[in-house]
Amino acid sequence: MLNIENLHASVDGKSILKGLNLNIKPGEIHAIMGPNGAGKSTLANVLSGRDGYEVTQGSINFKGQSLLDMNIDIRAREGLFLAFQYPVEIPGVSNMSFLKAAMNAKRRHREQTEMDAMDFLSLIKTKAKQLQLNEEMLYRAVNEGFSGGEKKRNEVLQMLMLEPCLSILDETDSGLDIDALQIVAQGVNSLRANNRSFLVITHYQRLLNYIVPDYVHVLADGKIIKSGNKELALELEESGYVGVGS
Amino acid sequence: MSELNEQNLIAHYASQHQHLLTSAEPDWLKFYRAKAFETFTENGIPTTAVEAWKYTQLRTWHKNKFHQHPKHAQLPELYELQLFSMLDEHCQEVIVLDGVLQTKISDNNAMQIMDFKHALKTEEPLLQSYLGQAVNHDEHPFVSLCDALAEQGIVVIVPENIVVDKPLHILYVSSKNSENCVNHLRNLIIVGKHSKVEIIEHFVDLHDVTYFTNHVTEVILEENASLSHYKLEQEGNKSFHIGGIHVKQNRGSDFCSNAVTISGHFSRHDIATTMVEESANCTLNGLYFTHNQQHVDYHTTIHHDAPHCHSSSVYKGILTDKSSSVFNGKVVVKHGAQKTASKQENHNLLLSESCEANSKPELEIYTDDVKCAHGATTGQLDEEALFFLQSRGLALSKARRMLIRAFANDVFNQMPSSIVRDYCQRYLEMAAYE
Repeated sequence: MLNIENLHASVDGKSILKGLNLNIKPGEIHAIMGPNGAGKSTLANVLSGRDGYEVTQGSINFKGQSLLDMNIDIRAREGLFLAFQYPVEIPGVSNMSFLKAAMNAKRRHREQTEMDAMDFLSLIKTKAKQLQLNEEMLYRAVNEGFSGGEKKRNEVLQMLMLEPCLSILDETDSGLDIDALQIVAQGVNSLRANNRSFLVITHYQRLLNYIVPDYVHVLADGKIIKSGNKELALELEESGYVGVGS
Repeated sequence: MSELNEQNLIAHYASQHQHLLTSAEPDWLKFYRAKAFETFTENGIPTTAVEAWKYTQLRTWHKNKFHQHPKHAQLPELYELQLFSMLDEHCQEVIVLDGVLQTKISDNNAMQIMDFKHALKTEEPLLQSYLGQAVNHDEHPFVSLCDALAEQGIVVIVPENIVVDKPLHILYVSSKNSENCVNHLRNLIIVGKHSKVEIIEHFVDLHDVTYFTNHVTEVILEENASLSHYKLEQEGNKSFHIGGIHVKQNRGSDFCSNAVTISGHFSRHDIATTMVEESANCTLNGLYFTHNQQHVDYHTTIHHDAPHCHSSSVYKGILTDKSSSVFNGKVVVKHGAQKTASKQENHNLLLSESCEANSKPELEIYTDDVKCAHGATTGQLDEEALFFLQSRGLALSKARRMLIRAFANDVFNQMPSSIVRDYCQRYLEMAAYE
């Protein structure tokens, strides 16, 4: 699914990722943990193609193609999805119309017919209900006036609609109370399948109780310094990042 | 501008004015014209040293010596106009070709629509009492010029207690016969007590020639009268347009102005209303989209002369290429106009490096018990939002379009007429997203 080799990336000339390797196979859930400033969000941004992140060395292979050669929108249409750490508000653009445009952009890309308005409506209503999102929010502008928890659930709604094959969750748990966390986790888990993969970036082990990873990696100073199974997350919770890898 | 040049131009217009003074027009009108011309010559052609013209250079306008009276033109083929005829069966449409009303006098029981010359014959007392009530020659030099020179125009009279169900669409068409000509148009709209009407003034040109439109639309709203007014500018890239809507609002009247610039070259629009009696209400919406070297200047003036009046105003600009815009919104609350509520906003979206938006909201308050607010912003498309939309699979062009549309919809959603809204949206999409 995703194979990152010796990835070096910098922001404003400052080197952040310094030789990162990661291989995610279809159906796997990988968690990346690490202290502030380790490069977690940089990794998410490089993968999604955000401006201002310069890859200076290494390669990223996504489903057999070079990810770095693809535009942001093409990455998305090929099945890559980033759930934002800070979802953006877009006044005047309704949730519904934007998601419909996104769905159809992806379908066209795959040479599928565009989705019928009624089918779309019933699908989005079902998904919103699953995430306990008020139906009225579908008609509101994207994230405008949403609470922190609602914004995060709205990200997961987009994920459920677009059915990406690789989802990157960038600190999706930040700002969520325990109820909202469970709803979000259920949403993510409902998408689990042996042809889909997940990269869960988090600061805390808490989320991993609900989205159980196959592998846990510790990212520090731009490199993965330790990898293990889900037990590693528990260890980290107890002993902290200090001392890991030494 | 050299003085010689100005003298030249004034002399040019003076000869046009002299011609009218020897016409068969009634004496009161000749007197009115003479006073207007006197004011025009006294004040001169405004330079950028005049505050109200600070950001609008008349330099290129000066280069042209526009002649009056274009040659008589054949009415364009219907298909040529169909493009602009959004409104078909939904409204009553009249065509003004190179300044001349083409439709025969139209009296559909609901209202009378006639050209200025005809009105002088049949409605002279009405004209004499209303003409000039809502305009200020000292403040608006081109209104003085128009009043001194305009022989053409449209007079619309809505009697008392009438709700006109079909909007009136006035399509001002400039043909190639307008080349190097000026059309001075003097319109008068009188809406009687408790009556309601929707009027769309729509300026288009067919052949991309250089011409100058100078129009004044004077509006008198009697007690509890209501007017939804639309002005659509959809002219070519050599056009010069200076125009104004000047409104006098009596007790309880409602004025809703919607101004949209879709295309043009050089334009200055004044929208001025005075609420002279209590409980009047006015809403001014505006959207300008500018491209190439276009320059658009919107000046709005709201006079709160009486207590318990409300006004609100939202103007938005979308600028591209090397175009420039001016928004100057002035609210004046007179002494004694208690319980006034007023708010105004101007927001500009800059889509290129070399466009320029000038924004100036002004508030003059001479009384104490009022609620007034104003605000202005100028910025670019939100990079975060663009990235977000792309990250969901939308192409950059599509994402941009979505954000521009959202910005414009704020204004469109305020427009009472869905017909006009749809029309403007359609053309704006075509113009803005190419």
